[in-house]
Amino acid sequence: MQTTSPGIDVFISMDKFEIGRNFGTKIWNAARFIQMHASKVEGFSFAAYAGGAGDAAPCPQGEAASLSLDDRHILATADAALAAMDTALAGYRFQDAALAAYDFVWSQFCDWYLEEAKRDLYGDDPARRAQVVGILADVFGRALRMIHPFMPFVTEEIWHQLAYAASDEETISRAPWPKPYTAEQKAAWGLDEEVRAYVNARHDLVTAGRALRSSLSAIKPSDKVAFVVSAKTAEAADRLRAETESLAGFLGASGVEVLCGETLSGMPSADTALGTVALKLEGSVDAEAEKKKAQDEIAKLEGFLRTVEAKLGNETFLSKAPAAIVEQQKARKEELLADLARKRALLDSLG
Amino acid sequence: MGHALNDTIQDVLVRWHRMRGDDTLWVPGTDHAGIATQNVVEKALRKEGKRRQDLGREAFVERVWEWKKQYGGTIVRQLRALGCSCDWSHERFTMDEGLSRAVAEVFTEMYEKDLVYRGNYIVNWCPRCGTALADDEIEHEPNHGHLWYVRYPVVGSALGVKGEAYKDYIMVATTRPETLPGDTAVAVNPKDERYLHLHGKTVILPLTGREIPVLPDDYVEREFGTGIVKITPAHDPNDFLVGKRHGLEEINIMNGDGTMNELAGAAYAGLDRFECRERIVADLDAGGFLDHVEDYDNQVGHCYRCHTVVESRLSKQWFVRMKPLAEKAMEVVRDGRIVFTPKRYENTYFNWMENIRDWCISRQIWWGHRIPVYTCECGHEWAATEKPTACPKCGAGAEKITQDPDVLDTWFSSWLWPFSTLGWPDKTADLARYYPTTDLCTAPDIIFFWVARMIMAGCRFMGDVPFRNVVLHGVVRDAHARCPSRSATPSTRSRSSASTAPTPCASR
Ligand SMILES: [Zn+2]
Ligand SMILES: [Zn+2]
Repeated sequence: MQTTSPGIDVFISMDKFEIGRNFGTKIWNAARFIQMHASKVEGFSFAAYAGGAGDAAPCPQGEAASLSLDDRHILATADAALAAMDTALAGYRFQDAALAAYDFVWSQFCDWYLEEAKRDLYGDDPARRAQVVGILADVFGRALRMIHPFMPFVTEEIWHQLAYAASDEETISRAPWPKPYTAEQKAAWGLDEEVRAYVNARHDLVTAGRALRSSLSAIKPSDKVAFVVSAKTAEAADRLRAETESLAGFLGASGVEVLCGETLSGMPSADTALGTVALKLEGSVDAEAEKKKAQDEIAKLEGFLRTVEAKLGNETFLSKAPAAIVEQQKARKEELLADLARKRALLDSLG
Repeated sequence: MGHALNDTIQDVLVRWHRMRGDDTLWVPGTDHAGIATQNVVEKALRKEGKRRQDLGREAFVERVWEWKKQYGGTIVRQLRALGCSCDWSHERFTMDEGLSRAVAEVFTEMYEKDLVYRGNYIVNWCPRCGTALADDEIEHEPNHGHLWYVRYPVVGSALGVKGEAYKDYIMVATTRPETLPGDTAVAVNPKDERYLHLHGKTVILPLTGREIPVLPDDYVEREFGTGIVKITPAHDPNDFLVGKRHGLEEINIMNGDGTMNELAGAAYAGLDRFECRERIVADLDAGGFLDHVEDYDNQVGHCYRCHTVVESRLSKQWFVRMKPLAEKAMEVVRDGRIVFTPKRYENTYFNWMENIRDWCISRQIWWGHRIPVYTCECGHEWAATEKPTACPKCGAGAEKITQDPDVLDTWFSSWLWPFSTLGWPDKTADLARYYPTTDLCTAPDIIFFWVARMIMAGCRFMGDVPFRNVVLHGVVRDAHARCPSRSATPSTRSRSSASTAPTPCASR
């Protein structure tokens, strides 16, 4: 989805071009997943989530009190994405509107919420399963309508496949545009900025933990490794402790130990808003071998850097080479410096 | 792609508004792309070894309609293929009966209110075919020619032409010495420091003795020749515009067949233009006015039909007086009744509107709305929405009445689009429901051709703006930097969410 601000560049329909196609595949996969789980809930009807009847009851089934932090986060984020789209479209900022829809559906809904929902959908609590399916149907129904102006064909097809459309004659193009949740709904379900901020920060922490894993060559994607988190506040520590099972799932970890306010040394680590996340090396990794590897790579990078710096210090090169080549070398230098900083931090953390 | 982009943007807007419950209408349609379409059909005719004149006007127009039925639906098919959310029952074409009636109505009113007039304009002219040619009917070819350096004595210099260059005489470079008798000025670039001392001076036109001014004008390229050029408003399109800027006299020294007339001077009248060129060069040389000659390569336009070298020629054309229309159209943007997105295009708009020139609306072709101006043998001239059966002045019958042979510029129908497509001049339910529309989406390159003119027409004939928002976005062009598709105008609008917009890009 390459898009444009008004008056600049090119706006391209999401239905056509490669990113649009990938996005389409992503939505189709989500649709099939949701449909499969909905089929296991007795008497479940997508049409109830099509925004009809004044959008009065998108309410997740079951008790509001049983909503998880992730449920509350995705509902609040859907609302925020809707507001962002409406503002952007009212200002004719088509790119911003498309990006708001795209980011919400791809990152927030598919990459985080669907993954989180799996534990409950494959769990053994039927009431909770039904509740999660209800949330999925509501949020996905909103998402389809939000994407519809940009991807009329794919969204129409799914609207019918999942029977959001009550009959063949109905069309998503005449379905009502989603309405923001009311203040009462938000209060009852606990949709607030605080929840969004916490879950977003937890997502950042997981992303940072995953990056640590991939920085160590000895760890294969299937390896279970142990993580430790030192939270910045007692409150964050409590929340994270309540979610270690989910965190371990997202990190592919054998376990996640949550501490509070401690300095983690001798381990590869990363700072995030919630606290420091670190990879425990004992047992899982040969620290000496990783150190050696890091040192070798640092030496290699330093060699490259010297070559680039020599070029950039050469007056003949600077005056003769085409500007694009000089720029390329400058960018290469920045890249090498960043790589070196990462490797040196890793080496430090290995003790 | 250009169309796809614009269509997509409009489609997004229309779908969003409709889902929000707004009363939404998107009128799809196309304009008749007068010159471009006529050319396509004439090319097809040529393959049969015929010219449009062989068919005659009526049969030719019939042929264009046939062609239109067969191929004219491309743009609309594209819209359908894109799945655009248009209201197909509202599809319109600028040559439809209703839209044609709107054109005649508007022209007649403007004629009666003196908002249109006939004036001189410079057109491309084939001396052999005896017709005006559109820009895209001219084939430009490289030509090995000459550049003649001619001395024009400065008035008041005692020494005359034999003195010191640029003090006693100036040196003018020209590729077309035969037009010299039609010069009414010479010009220099105002920033050219070599010639600051010449500003306000007068020089003597060789061979005629006529005194003409030295004018500063940005159009002059310092690098061309000596940086001093002769200005011949009646025989060069750029000089014509310079002449308009400075209020110069237009002296037409040539006949329609490419021979010189008596205004060229008794010595040259009756000569063919190329013969005349040789004679004038010889006379300049004999009089000491010819400084030197250089070889010079340039491009020369030829008639696409007969390959004759094309002339620029003054002819009578119809114009719209833009100033009175522009004032209102600026006011509605200034006071925020119409808002441009991005806002910076409002400056572009004001800039153009403040310097607006009258709009030449007549075209010497057959495909289009024929100008509804009639002349009786008694000399009476009038405009009418219906073909008259008798002269309103002397009562003579239709056989004594002739209609203006020219047609109107395609934009003269496109500029009415926001209300003509909704049924104007009738007071229709659609007009009451959807006018003014809300959004016009288009590419910035037609702000002047289309957007500004729609604003003028809306304010003048509907008494209200045609739309509230003008949304401008990028244009996608192909590798040759031309607009990619045939000139046509799918246009659209809706009310709460409107939108509109053709992307006509062809030659106009
Ligand atoms: Zn010709
Ligand atoms: Zn008469």
